[in-house]
Amino acid sequence: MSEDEDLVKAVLARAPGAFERLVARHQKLVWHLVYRMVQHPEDARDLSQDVFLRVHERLHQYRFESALSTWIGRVAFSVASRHLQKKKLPMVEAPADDGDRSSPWEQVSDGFDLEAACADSELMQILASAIEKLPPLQRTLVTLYHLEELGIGEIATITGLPEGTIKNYLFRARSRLRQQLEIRMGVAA
Amino acid sequence: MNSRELETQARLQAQAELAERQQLSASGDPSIDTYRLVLRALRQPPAVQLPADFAARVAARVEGVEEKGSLEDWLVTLLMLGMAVVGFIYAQPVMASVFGQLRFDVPTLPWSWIGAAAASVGVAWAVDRGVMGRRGELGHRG
Repeated sequence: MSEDEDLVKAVLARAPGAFERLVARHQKLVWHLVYRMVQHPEDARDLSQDVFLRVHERLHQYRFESALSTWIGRVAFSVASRHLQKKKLPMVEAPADDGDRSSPWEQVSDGFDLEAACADSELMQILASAIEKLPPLQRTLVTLYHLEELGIGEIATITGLPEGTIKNYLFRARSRLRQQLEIRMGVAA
Repeated sequence: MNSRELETQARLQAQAELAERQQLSASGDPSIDTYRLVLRALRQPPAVQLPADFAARVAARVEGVEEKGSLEDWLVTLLMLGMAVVGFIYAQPVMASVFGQLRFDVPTLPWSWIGAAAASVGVAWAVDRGVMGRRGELGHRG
């Protein structure tokens, strides 16, 4: 936390290069969050820039009550959510998708080789496109949890969602991805 | 998905996550290993990335906005100052004749009554402060 404090103080004191350091330190989190939410590279780039401009404008309001990354994540989440609202794109989809459909798990052969599958770029491509097809909120949550390795508590602070809801969305997203993967593998087999 | 299947899937996900964290070799159970494959895919960053000079560009933009802002402030101050000076020069002859004609008669005030009123206000304020201070202390203790 003290590193955050030093950096924030340096930015507020307009120390040369301090804000660039802050951006460089947190740009990955902001990009992953914003890009996974809006899924449009140019919009995501502009929005990421807006996030940091807003961070610079409001940094004096940061009270060190959470990690700086969590505070910046909240700004990024709010900027990206507002963008989706403006474009009238839904954050979440109707839960009908997880209904009682026949389970495809039985279709997977016992000879499944994890390492070979991981090296199989086609399979990874299938998964990458399945991730892109998740609803924006689920995409964002799995990104924060699995890619950014944030805890559920931190994600709750960023998104303002209850922890139980986040766990539920994560579970559903992973189940859905696995289902889609296995349907494709079943088709391929 | 019924509740039993939900439970099974939750258990498989937990097992897969644990195996990934501990970097265990493939379990041989396809139900767990496919989840592990999903978890590995989820850890992959998006293919599109920010440009390498993103931080420098944003910092330059912020500095540009600040510089522009401070230049604008400086210009506005200069303009206001100029207008005040020009206004004063323009109005000076008129103001000199107006002020020259003014006569001020200072009224005689009952200074003893004003002094007594000021003293009363002062005493009331001091008493009030003392009472409030004691209440505050009691509040902290309570």
